[in-house]
Amino acid sequence: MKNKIVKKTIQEKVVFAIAFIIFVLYAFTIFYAFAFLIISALKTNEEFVLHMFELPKQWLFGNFVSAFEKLQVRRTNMWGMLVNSAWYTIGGTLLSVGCATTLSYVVSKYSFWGKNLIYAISIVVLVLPIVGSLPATYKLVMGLGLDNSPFYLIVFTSGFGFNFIVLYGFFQNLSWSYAEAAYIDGATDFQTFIKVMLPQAMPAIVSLLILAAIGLWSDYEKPLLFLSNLPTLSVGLYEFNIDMQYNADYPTLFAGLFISVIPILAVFILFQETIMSNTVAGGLKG
Amino acid sequence: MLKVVKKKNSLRRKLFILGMITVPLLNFLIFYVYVNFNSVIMAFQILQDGEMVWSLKNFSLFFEQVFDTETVLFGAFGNTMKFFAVQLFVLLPATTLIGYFIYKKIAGYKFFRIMFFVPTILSTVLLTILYANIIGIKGPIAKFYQMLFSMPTVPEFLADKRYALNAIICYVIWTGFGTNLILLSGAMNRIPNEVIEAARLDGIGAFKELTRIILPMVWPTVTTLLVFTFVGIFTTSGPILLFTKGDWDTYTISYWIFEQVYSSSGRYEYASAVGLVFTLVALPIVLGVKKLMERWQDSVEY
Repeated sequence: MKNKIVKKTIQEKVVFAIAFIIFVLYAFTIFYAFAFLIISALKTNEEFVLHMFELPKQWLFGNFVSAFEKLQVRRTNMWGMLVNSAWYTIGGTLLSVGCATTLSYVVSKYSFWGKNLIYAISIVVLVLPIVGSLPATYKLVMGLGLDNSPFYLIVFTSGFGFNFIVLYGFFQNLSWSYAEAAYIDGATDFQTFIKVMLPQAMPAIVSLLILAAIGLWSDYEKPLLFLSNLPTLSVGLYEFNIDMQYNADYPTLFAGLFISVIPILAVFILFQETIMSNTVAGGLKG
Repeated sequence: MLKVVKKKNSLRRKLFILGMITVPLLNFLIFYVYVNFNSVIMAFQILQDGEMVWSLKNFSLFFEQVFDTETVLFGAFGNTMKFFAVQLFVLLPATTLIGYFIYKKIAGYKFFRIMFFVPTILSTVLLTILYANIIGIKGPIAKFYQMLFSMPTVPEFLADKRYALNAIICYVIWTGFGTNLILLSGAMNRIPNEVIEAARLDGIGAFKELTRIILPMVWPTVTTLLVFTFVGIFTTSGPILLFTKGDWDTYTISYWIFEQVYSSSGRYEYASAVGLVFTLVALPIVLGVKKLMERWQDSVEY
């Protein structure tokens, strides 16, 4: 609709055509990788080794079923990994975005002692280029006995960082008059937050939830360090891939990889418009 | 603009505020303040006869190693700078351009927007396995490369000093557009239509439209991304663990630190000292960039 009035010049058309070709090539590489994943999941192991980039002779859809049994890392099979990935992702997502929501809400909407300090901290946390706190984090998590336990999720209750800045900006632009109306009707602060303000912030919160979920579902470094006995799908598939140096079973690996993509792909397809239009980060002032 | 509750807070309200901030603040005190404080302490300690003692040896070892071209740390520093340069000079400008074409509704822009974001959704473990196989010795790319440069054997990109780092850099570019594209697209879509239309009617070309109108109007987002890039100056890396585990000269600083913890070699204190020095070098750089960006930023308001 935009720019209908003014026609593109020849040079612009050429530039757009070049960009279009580059974009098509890029999309092709993504499709190629995806096609490779699917055809590799449907082959026999022998076929994979001998004819890696050819279509399977027989399409072995049973590989997807047998992956659930065959894909095993130490004592955890694929069902177990799915369960671990699920609690890790859902728990970490809800805690991190939830804490960012409550913190950014009161900091942007109430005045209280320490409010400016909290805002300052949120900026410091974002811009302080800390390089090597992993050893100290590792010592602390081990010292508290949070490793190999769902209690590890406590580390996600932070509330600062990227989520805070996005939600703080969002709440600042949200009119306070709805809350005032709620107070007049006798609502408490908590009721106002839950029933009046939170629903209005839902688009922004949902997009942050999904971005957080995508990140945690794919996360492999933290689970590898801290949840080694409770392997998530990412960790399990990584370790299965390494173990294959001794006992190769590529179709099972690729079938597992394909299955691991489905939940997050489904969530993304359902919510992609929300993510694309509601994730906005302005400046970092302060 | 911002309307803050002005009356003195009642006890109930104080409790509400306290309830909303207690958990995040406790987490901050434990997992940020305490951890980083302890990290600094650890940097000044070494293990001697089974006991922790104060020492500057971690730092003297670091300064010996980091300037010695033979050491892993020297290589890790150089590689990290390469990854940083890719982020700053390749990914950020390319993503801005991609965002521009998508904003201008290039044919199929909705489809391309998803395509550029797809690598962000897929897990790194999956993508690295796919990438490693596709560029592997049986894959089409290695064969094409062999033909192109008429090499006697097929190059093994991820297991060869000459190629491994560049192969990982290519992976980082291939998968690196998503998140920033979302933020830049979001910012561009908020530019008022009238501004663009008025400029077009004044006969402004596409290039000037990008540099004189669109870029200045999304400048707060661009500068934020720039500051983030500089925050990661010494922590940028690729998925080294998944590709090479540092073999073939592919160590980066952040992978080296990860390895000190993961491989249970137990050099926590040394890793903390290395991290501390790099943090102290990065800090003035980040603050300088942030100041500079803020000065430029104030000029545009809409």
